[in-house]
Amino acid sequence: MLSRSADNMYWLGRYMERAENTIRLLRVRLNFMVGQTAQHGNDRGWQQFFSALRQPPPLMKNGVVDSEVALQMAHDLTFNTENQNSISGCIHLARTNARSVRSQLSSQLWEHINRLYLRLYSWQGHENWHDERDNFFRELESSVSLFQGLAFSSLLHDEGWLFIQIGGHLERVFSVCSLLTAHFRHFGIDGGERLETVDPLNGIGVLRACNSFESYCRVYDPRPETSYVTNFLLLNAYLPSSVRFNVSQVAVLLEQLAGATETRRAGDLNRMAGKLQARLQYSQIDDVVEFGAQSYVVDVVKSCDEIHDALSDAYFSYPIDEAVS
Amino acid sequence: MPNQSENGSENALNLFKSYALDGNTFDEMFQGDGRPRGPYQKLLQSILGVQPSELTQRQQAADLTFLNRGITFTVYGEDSTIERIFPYDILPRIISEQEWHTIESGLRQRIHAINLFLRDVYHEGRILQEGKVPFELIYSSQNYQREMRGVRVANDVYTSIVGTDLVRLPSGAFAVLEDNLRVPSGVSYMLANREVMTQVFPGMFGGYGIQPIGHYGQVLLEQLQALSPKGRDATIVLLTPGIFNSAYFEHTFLARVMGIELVEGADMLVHDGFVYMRTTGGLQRVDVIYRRIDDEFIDPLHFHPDSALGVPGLFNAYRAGNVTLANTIGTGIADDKAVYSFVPEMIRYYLGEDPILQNVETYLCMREDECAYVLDNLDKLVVKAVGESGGYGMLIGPHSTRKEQESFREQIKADPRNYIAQPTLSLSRAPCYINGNVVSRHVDLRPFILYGGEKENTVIVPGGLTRVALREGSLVVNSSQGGGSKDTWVLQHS
Repeated sequence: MLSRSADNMYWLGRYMERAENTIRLLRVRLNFMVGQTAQHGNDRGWQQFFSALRQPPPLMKNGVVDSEVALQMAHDLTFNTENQNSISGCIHLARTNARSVRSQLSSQLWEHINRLYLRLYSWQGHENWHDERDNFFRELESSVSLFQGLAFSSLLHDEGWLFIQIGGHLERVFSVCSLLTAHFRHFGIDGGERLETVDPLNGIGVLRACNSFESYCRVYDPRPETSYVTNFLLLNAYLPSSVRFNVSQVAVLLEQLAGATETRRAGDLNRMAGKLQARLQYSQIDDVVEFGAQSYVVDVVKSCDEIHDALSDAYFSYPIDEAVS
Repeated sequence: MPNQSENGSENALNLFKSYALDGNTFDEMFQGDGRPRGPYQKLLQSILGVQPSELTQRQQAADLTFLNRGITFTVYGEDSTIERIFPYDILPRIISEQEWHTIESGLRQRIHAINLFLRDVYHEGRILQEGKVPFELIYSSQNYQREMRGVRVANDVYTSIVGTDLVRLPSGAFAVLEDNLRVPSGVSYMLANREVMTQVFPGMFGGYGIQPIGHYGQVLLEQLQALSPKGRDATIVLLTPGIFNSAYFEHTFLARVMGIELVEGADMLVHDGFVYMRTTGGLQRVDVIYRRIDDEFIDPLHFHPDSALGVPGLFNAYRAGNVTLANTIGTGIADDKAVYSFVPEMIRYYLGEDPILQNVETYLCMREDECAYVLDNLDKLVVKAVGESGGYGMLIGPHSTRKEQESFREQIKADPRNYIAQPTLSLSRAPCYINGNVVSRHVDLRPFILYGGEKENTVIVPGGLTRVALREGSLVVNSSQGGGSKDTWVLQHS
């Protein structure tokens, strides 16, 4: 496969996953606001929301989030194509990447992405957006999930598919880590290094934003203890949105990729992924607390950044003189 | 207007109330007396048999299918870029088996002769020495690539992928308007039109016996493989200018049906005289390039130095015989609009045959007497710059203003070699469904020819792209200027 196409596939996976994350964060945040009056809790909620999306929050002079402007920004995060974290922005970029590899996608998959893009476009000027947004977000969410299903069932499971998957799993690690970091920062005590928070109920929102609340209730009980929530989202082996789960997938898929491409350049990359996988696999929540929860998550993100760079060096932009010698 | 005795209901006849018929133009559907021609009889019955609202619904369904599939081109607006679907018409254009036979054998003959001509002008130049084609015409052309002189071309196939534009004269005969020998486009719209039409209008297709066209991709792949000594093991790629090119849809479409890589210039490099592409597994050698980039942009070392679309060193690799280009470089010399007028001569010279398809009468401004005639009749003729395409650089005399004529007069006087003129043709008209009415609009036909080195192994999928001038009275069929397309059926022998 062409290096450029592989790069497009990888980003297609990342942007679709990023779109899904933004959709869920928005849905949870906007639903949570309904009926809320306590300005204080609301304020932290907004702060957490914006920092999970790596966006600067609209602060008033007194340092509190201006919820009017915040609502306007929620609309922007849905429809403003210029913003690369917005739903529109992600879908637009996903589609641009898909167009570049259109000859290698199945017609069903391409058409699905294209329809999703057109659908979003047609909602843009919708008057009653705020009243119908829950339906709208649900429709989008299932559309994005359908992308995964179509990719699974209609693509050859060769390197192109592997790149989409690796992109998706890596992006999910980034999303969950950034949500956890935001939770620790705005609700945690002592900068979030200890696993205690001022508002244990906020854990429900965090779990919902990862689509994991129902699973959590099956494993624990419906009262979200921060250390349990962290354990669940960070270290659980079976939860499809946990960091450990996704890192394991990345490591396995990278091994498959090295086999499929018969490359000699993936050694470093696979070592890095394996190391991170092992670290998560053999960590217990007590180790995380001892290390400092916030620092642990930051470390994971740093390792994933390195994996991203190594992936690019191995497959997309390796030096030519090495390749011809 | 269909003859009363042929019709169905009053309501359906209303559909045809604005249909214009006149003796100076060939109508594809109706004879002079208003009765339908043989191949169209069944179609007319189908149209009269459905409710007009149903036709409109089918059209909308087809619109949506085109849009969802992304069969679109990009319009660059002031503050945003929008994608539009290519305008098309749901009523098919129908060609009988006999008519197609003439077109097919005429084009095979023509493209074979053109390839022999290209070989000749880049080697011995016999046809020039014998005075059948003037020297200065060739050597003064911007499309003559001196770099190609003496270069050995695989199987002597210079232009294997061709789209030739045909028009139908008032007599009913097809004539050649121009050959597109460099990087012709449009074939994906022919294939997409058929695909979409069979989906949204299955009932209309029933029982006609339409010759299939879906094998174009396979034939193209076979022709490309035949250009490499490695045959089926050759690594073939399609070179595109990229996602912003207006024909990008076609490039992805063709790459997909052939199962080959769609590459951009930056994906490839030349090392030690061989061409490689950068893949995830390392560098991979490329044997055949189906290039959709113009000559000037293909190699910045040899041609346009500012081009970022091409591959530096590609031409050297080509000259060394380490990679094959389809079409090869320099084929534009034969579709220069002035050289075009010598194609019948080429057919006689190389093949010893009479041309089966006629050319349109052409005046060369490089000849003094013809130039004088052209200058005297600017209001009646169509004047074309020889190197332009896409309907640009053109003066349509009867539809032009005095000012435009004067401007062309100056341009012709300044550079006569650069201009030719042709009588204003009355292109044939075919029925189109527009805004709830069936009306007649001017059409042409671009069949797609895959040349394999001989007349016998040249394949033309039956039909081609029928382009329509959707604006009433307009003669310009180019999609960049208000043109659309329609599905084209060649009927099986009944």
